[in-house]
Amino acid sequence: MDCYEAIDVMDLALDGTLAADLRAGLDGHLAECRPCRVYMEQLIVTRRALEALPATEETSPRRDALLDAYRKAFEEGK
Amino acid sequence: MGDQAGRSERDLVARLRSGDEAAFAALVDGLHGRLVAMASTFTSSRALAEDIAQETWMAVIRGLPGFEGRSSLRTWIFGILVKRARTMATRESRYVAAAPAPDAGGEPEVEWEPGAGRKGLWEKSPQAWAMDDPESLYQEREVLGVVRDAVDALPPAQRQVVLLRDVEGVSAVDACNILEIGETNQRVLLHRGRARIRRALDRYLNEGAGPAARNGAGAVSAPAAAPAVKRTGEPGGTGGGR
Repeated sequence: MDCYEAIDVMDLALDGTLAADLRAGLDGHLAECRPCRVYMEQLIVTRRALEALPATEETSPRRDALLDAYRKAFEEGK
Repeated sequence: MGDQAGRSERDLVARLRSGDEAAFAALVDGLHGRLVAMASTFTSSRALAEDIAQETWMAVIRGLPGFEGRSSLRTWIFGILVKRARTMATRESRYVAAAPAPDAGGEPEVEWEPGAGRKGLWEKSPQAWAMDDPESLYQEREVLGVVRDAVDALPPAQRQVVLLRDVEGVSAVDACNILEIGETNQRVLLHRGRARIRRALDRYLNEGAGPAARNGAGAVSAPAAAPAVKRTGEPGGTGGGR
């Protein structure tokens, strides 16, 4: 596997959906290519940071209307 | 996380379907901002993005009795949102074309230059981030601010995929269905989006773009002026220019 192919499959590796043979090829490449190794590590950190993004603390400005609608929907249903 | 998350999701759905107002209020409070963020990829109007999110909630209320949990709650809600966003944004003719523009962001799309595709031919080798504890990184507000800004700056099509896949945790298949795009396109958009966010983090961590820049990592004193030159310690340093 060369750098181009390695980078191409890194996203699948991040998602844990990379096929076993390609995973082995990627690992082999990473073992001997430092730039790709650094890049892969950084992609992992990047992805973890995205997962860690906190929800913005804004709720709906029309929250009360939504709760009313929700309540009514269930009153009607009964 | 899997089993537990699955159980709590089933509990939540059951509560929502039984008319538990507190559960619904908590869902709205937790997810509304994310719905608006997603809606904002379809329109430049903040007010319209709010309307799209609100309409989505109304549709969720109507749809809950029929929601069978075949997809995750989040996938279902975001699917509703994207459909609403398409029709509402088109109606307002402020629709932001979400077609995969080759490069809509003004920066070169390919940040890695693996030369002719051979081993060790990076023109600019990435420089490792100095991190004693990667886990602490995600707790720093400033770092998350950098990530948030980088997400907001992505072209809409990339932002849609990154938000769904990496922020909301939606599967690749579901993201394709929600956005009505093919698997290959989804992969390319995700790859480009992640690459841009990695680069933003790199600027922050390695080039000191921000007051809390970490030290270590080679600690070059030259600022962001010409980082590429500083970093050609790797093979293939001959190929400057393009």
